[in-house]
Amino acid sequence: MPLGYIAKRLLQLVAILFGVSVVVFLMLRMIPGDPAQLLLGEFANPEELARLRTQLGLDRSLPLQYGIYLQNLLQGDLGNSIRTNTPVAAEIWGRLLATLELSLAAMFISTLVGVGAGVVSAVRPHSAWDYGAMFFALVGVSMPIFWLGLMLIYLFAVKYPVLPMMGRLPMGLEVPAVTGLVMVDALLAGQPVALWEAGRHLLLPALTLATIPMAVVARITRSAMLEVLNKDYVRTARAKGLSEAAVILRHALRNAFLPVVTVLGLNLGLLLGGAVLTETIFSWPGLGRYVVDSLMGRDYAAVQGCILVFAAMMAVINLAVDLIYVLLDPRIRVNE
Amino acid sequence: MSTGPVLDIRELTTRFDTRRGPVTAVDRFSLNLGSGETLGLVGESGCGKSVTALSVMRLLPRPAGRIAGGRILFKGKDLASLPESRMRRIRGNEISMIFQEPMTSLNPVYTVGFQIVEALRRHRRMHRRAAREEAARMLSLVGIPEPGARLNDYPHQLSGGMRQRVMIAMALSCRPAVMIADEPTTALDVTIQAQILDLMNRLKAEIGMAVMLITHDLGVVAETCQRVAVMYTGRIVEAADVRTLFRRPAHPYTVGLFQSLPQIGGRQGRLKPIPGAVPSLLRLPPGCAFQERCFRSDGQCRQDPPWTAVGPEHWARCWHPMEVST
Repeated sequence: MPLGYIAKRLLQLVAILFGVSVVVFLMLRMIPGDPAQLLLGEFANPEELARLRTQLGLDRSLPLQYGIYLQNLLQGDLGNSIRTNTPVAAEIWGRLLATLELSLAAMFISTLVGVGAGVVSAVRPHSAWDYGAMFFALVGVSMPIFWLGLMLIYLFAVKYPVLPMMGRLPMGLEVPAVTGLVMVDALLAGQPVALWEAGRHLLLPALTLATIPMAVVARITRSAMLEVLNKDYVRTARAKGLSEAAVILRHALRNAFLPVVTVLGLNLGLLLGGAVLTETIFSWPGLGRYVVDSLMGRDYAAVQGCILVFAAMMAVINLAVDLIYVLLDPRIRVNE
Repeated sequence: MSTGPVLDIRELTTRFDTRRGPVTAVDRFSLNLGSGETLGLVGESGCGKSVTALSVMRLLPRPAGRIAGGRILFKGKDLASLPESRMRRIRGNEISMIFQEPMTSLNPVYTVGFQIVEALRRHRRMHRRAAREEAARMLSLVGIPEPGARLNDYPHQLSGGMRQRVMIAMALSCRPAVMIADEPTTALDVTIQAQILDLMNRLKAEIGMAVMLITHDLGVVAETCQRVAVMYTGRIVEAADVRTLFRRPAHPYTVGLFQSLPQIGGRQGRLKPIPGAVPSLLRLPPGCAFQERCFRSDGQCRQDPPWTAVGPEHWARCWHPMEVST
């Protein structure tokens, strides 16, 4: 692994985060809405409002406010929530892990099903399977998430109540938090019941969240595979007498994976940021819901913190995608 | 020299389904290949040479292409009707093939070592280490220096000539009885071309295999083959040993091919191209497909021409072959 390259990219990450912090700070203060007014309500008198603003530091000049924010940020302090007066960092961390668990599950489902369906479609183009899979892919990208989520709840939690419709675990069941990912924690604690329950709770929201990326991945995989299957080296692989499975999985799919990995990386970013609707529908205590609530309450510190975390994650995902390219294709070399 | 044919193709017919109807790309093709022999299959682009090779390998593009008739006898088995699973045991093992495009015929994401080892492990059930040693031996056999180190190279790190050597090493790794080489030197520089042909000639003798060499280059044929078959619009129009064919071509098409070649020290002057163009396989005239371009054709050519012996071991599919005195 090119360690120098990774170090350089991580340094760039710092610059990106600095830029993001400035932009978010300014944008939040440009949008209308006064946190003090929102906290105290419509009928608060001017003295109370002024006192609260002083208390929150909102009466100082913008550069000074930013300076204080940055100083705290460098010490790892994202500030306190205006609404709850608790440290934002802790709030974000717990929710981030919930969102991460949901996103990774959705990512897993969409990759497995999407790549599988795409490969089979490409191997038997214009077959009934191909048309069927691509029809469902089209339906998948076109389906509104909230509608799909509600339909899944109606089907599997109300009409045929086989799956829970909300939360991460049943009431009263707890697992010691080690990683913050409930399924992993249950596994670590050796609690099969909790693992089973956590999986059941995860299934519907993950399926909802996975639908769109699954459809996108299926279509990209199909077109990439169709192209690769016509390459000379695939014919060479067949001429060697390899089995069809080896030809497709070893020789074709590995080459078709580059565009798919790009899409997977973009998807993970979208999943992390786009879980808002899913988290709302399934009462999932994730970051998406938190950032929306914070924005509504003009909770500057919370929104700034969330967006910084999103930006950092996007940058890390992009770095990971670039490194996976290098692993997948020996012709790609990084310039250090 | 030969002890009966190792590959005996009888009346092979290959069709493609296209939007404008079925096309017969190879039409009642009969030919045999003696063990240890090098046979040249020549003709212009699109005459069915490669499709013949892909038919023998059963690697026709699906679902458009299919073998519509005839038999391909190899060691007593008919490859045309062999189940796919048994065909896979022959491909790359008893019959192997190298292609025209060395630049794109190797998988870019695997080392050349991996790609050679893969064939050995598949057919010879070799262990990883033994297969790697054998792969290195094959690389040195095809004249690649430092074979042990080259095993770890990716195709993009090698030149076109080197890649074709790797392809040959891969094709020969299981000691096949037959190698089909489809324009193996067309994409290479002339100097590299000569090296690769030399290499193929040498290895053919060493391994004792038969080679079917597909080319449109009569110079390559003269240098490497013992016998030649000339193809035109999916049919063999003439077959003979190299000497006879070059000295006394019998089919007017073969004559035309030679007249369109520049000759060193020959008569000065313009080359004589064959008039007209190759007819579309979708609209072949009845009878001889060459009649519209032929300087000897008459009304009789509208009937299917017979496969006529014009000399010892020399045939032409023509009503009016050139007079060949023997």
